[in-house]
Amino acid sequence: MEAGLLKFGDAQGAINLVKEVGKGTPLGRILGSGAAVTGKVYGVERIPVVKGQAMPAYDPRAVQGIGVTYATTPMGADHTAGYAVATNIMNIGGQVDPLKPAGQIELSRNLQVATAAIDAVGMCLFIAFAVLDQPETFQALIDMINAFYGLKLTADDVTALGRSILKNERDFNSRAGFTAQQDRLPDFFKKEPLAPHNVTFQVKDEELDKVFNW
Amino acid sequence: MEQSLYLSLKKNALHHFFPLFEQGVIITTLVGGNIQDLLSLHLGIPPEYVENRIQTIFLDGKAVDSLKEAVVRDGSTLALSAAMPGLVGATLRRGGAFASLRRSITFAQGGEAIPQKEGRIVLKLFNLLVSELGPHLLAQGVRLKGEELNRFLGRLPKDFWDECREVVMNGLKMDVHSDMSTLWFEKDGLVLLKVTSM
Repeated sequence: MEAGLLKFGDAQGAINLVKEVGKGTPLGRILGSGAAVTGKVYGVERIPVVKGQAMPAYDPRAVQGIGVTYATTPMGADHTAGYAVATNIMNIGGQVDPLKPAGQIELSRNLQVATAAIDAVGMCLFIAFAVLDQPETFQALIDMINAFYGLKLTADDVTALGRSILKNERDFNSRAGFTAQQDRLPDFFKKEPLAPHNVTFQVKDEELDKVFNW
Repeated sequence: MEQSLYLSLKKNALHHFFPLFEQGVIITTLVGGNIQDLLSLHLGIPPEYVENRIQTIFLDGKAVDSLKEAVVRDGSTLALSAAMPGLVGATLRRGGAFASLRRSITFAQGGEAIPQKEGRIVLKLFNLLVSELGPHLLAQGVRLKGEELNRFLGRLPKDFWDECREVVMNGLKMDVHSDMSTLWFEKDGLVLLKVTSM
């Protein structure tokens, strides 16, 4: 739509374009290569991707914690990698104002560490809601992991596991050529205010570079 | 005297007005009753539509589960949406299975009962509800601050006015072929905006 192929709001047109992918036409193959490639082909400036991964539902200007996750997770724009929406919007595990930069770095960092550990031990990420809401549930999770794997992990060990995973992922990305410049949101999120609160993404670049400082 | 603007459009160009609902429009209605009555009895939205289509409701920033228990007060902000996707959509959904995840932002009715009287609320509509309910509400009339309406009119494309059959400003019929940039309302007052389409 941004490239002028469709009028904004043309739902049936959008469905037809999805079907174009299945037909394998030149347009379909461009679209099937994702938002980043499609945007480049059509010369679109406002492409909502990070590290080539298109953004899911949440606009980072309205939920600045998820914006930090989008920018910094080794995965690219992935809301599940550090679901700050839980705290920013639903006040689960505390309250951090979604429209302001304060507290977002720490929030995303802690969630990314916890998520990496939860993903690695085979649990569904949705247990995080119970863990965030009830402190005793975190210990129950550790007890379960230890019983299953015959380990003696403590809470600090689980945190260390999450940090280790993220360190390895970032190391991989670094060797693949990624730098701090890939840990950024597209510029338009910092320049174009989003209604109705008329906010831009306000977390500074130098703050984003501190997410993995622990 | 309240300012007013009435537009009759030749064909369906109502979509130009839909962003107003996301910002919020002011509705004059009977307050002090519950959301169910406000929507069905006072705004004329069929009860089946309310039950099946309006799946996400926020009253003064808190997610509502019971339409019959949540009371709308003078000055309240009521936001309506169809079902939203994803985990947060499921969590915010009225009476949804994941409602317990959002305990701290769930609307809790408290305080004494208040008498019903005419009042004003801010009504916001999102996603599918904008196109489905917007035309009905525009035909009934919504209110905006003059400053906000001036800004909105200034952003309309020039060819929008070619789609107008009739323009009545403060009770005076305007020449639709004249320069519509002269449409201007006192910024601090409210303007009653009514829009119909053939």
